[in-house]
Amino acid sequence: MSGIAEQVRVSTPSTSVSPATRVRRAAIAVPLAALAAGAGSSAVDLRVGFLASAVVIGWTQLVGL
Amino acid sequence: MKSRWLLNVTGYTLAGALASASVGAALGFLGAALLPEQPVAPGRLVALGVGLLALARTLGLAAIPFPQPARQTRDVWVKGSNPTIAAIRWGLDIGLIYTTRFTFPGTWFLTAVAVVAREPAFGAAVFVAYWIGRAVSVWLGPLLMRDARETPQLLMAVHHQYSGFRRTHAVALIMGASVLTVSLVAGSGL
Repeated sequence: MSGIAEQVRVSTPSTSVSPATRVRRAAIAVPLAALAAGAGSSAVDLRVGFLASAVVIGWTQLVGL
Repeated sequence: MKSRWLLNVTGYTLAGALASASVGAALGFLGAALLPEQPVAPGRLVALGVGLLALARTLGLAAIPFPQPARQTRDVWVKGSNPTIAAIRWGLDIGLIYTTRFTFPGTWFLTAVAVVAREPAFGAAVFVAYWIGRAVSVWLGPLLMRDARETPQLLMAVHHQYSGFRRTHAVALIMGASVLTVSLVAGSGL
């Protein structure tokens, strides 16, 4: 991940929010969105619910690399 | 510069999706070739067991020695080569799932489910979903840091969120295992 991250040169609006806060927000928002979508879809199709959990399992592998 | 970044990240994502889909499809083929067509319940129970063991390991309840690759992808690939080619190589490498390090054992739960489902298309879908989860952090890069100089702080911030990611991983395992349990109880396919 760091290799790709080091290529980031896209300017974003200046903000006083620290990287730690932004990571904390993303760490909550991304899995919440996936799990909520998956939980809603499970009633219709179990496979979609399972795929949502797979997305979150992949997302969490971000840490510790 | 934005178009260059977009090209690199798109190349990384598509290459990883291709590799992950291939791995998932291969697991589905393996299951179809090795496992009997009926009954499917014992296979799903084994997969559920793997999921519960992964959950126990994630929560620190049991020191189950899941295989853990130690290798990391090669940062040096970007030196002296086209950054887009390097990004594609990273995608292919990390997208192969088992060739590089991953932190939590839920990957093995997905592996077990992809095998016992005995469907290459579903196996591919499982691992493309897993890859989407892995790749989304790269797409979020510009939102998480103002420029590349913040990379060390970003990585440190991610590291400091280890407990949160661990708990989230446990929740995802519970959800996946719950879906599998419902499919078992209902006697429906997954």
